[in-house]
Amino acid sequence: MQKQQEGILITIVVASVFFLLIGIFLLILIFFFLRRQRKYKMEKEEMKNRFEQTLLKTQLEIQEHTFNYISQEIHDNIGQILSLVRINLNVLAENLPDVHFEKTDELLGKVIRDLRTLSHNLNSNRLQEIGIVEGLKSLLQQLEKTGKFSTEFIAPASSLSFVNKDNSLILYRMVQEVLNNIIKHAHANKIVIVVEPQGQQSHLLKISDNGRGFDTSKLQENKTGIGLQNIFTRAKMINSSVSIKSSEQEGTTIVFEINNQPLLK
Amino acid sequence: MSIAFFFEALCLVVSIYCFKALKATKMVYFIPFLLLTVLVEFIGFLSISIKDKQQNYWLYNIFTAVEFVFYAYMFSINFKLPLLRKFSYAFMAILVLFSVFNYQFLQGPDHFHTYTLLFGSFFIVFFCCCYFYEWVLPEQINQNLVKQPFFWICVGLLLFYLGSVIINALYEYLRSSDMDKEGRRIYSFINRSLNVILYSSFITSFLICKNNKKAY
Repeated sequence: MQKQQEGILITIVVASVFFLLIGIFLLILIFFFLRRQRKYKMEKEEMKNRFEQTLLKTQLEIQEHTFNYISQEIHDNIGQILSLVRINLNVLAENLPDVHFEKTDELLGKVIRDLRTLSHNLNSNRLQEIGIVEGLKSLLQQLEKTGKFSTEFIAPASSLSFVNKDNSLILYRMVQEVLNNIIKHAHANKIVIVVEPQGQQSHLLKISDNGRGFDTSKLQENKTGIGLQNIFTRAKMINSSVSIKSSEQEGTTIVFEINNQPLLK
Repeated sequence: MSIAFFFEALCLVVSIYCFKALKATKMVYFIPFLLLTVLVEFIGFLSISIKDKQQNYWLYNIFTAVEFVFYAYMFSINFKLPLLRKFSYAFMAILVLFSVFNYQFLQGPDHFHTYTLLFGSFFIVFFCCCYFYEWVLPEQINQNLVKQPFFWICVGLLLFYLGSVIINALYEYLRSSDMDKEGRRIYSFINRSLNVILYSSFITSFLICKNNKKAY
């Protein structure tokens, strides 16, 4: 009888432990299942990101290729033809009144100069020769030449030296886009570009204008134009973050945080 | 006083220590609940040790019902699926009715209400499984389950009620005269061990709450 009781009690303890182990097993199962699921989801997102990066890179390569082609055409074809037109005009000048000739020659000279500038801006090889800092300076100088803007460029020596060729081109296009927006929409007359090193890991590139500003809540509602969207997409490609500070009638400042470890290699 | 009581008291102290963090969440309800638990255990202990071995079943029978209603309410707060939330509300009402029915017609006032305990245990284990089910749904995958305070509450409840189901089911049998002494010993041993697991899980949950608050 005593042994039978002992047997029953042992059975009860074993059964309780068994149930407890089932619980523990269930918890371990859930834990590993969730860990695997999370890992799988992360891998999937990483693959998606890589695919998007590759797609963007390809798009940009095609765009640059097109830009280079147009640049060459302007420089070698249209530019040459216009130069020839100018020479021919000089020959014909003897039969034209001086006032008309000078005016036409001046206009033609301006067209040739503008086309040359446009050709340089479109050509990515030139940027790689002169470097990103000089490229940005040259963009501001061109704006200054129009007489509509006063510009300022502040950057310590060897700024943005860590940015590789591909990324400097993307950064250059982003700044071009920002400057285009200022010209088209800001109604500004002063543009300042400042490069601020933030240790060795990152630099801040700030582009400010004194224009009429805009309502930044539109950015959160995704009511932005293609230009701004391009800026955000390109920034993502070079692992850079973009922040826009603006209020109506108080100008706009766009800040790019450029990191030392870009995604695009 | 047993080691289980020590863990209950420790759990109450930790919950008070983490009050600021718990205040921001519904976990704060655990403080009065744990206070009640410690009080019930203390009164239960006094009633059998001082007042000539007076039965304390009435106290535990009431507390068992309160305990299940509280856990069901905590589940209803933490469930994301409306159906499960409604189910936990329904359980609260059914459990109270069942408890009254058990008192009136089944086990009466002189017995420990093991039927209520088994009925509640079954549903608490079921709710724990439902809670885990919600966490394996695709929309929850991104969050870390281990860092959720209520996950640890569920871990404690699941292990406690799964481990105690056999001992509770055989409670009356173990209290029968020929097995009373050994039965008591086994019941106490299993119950105390499971209480240690339960309150350790609760303590973990409160500390996670505090850590999460720091992280914000």
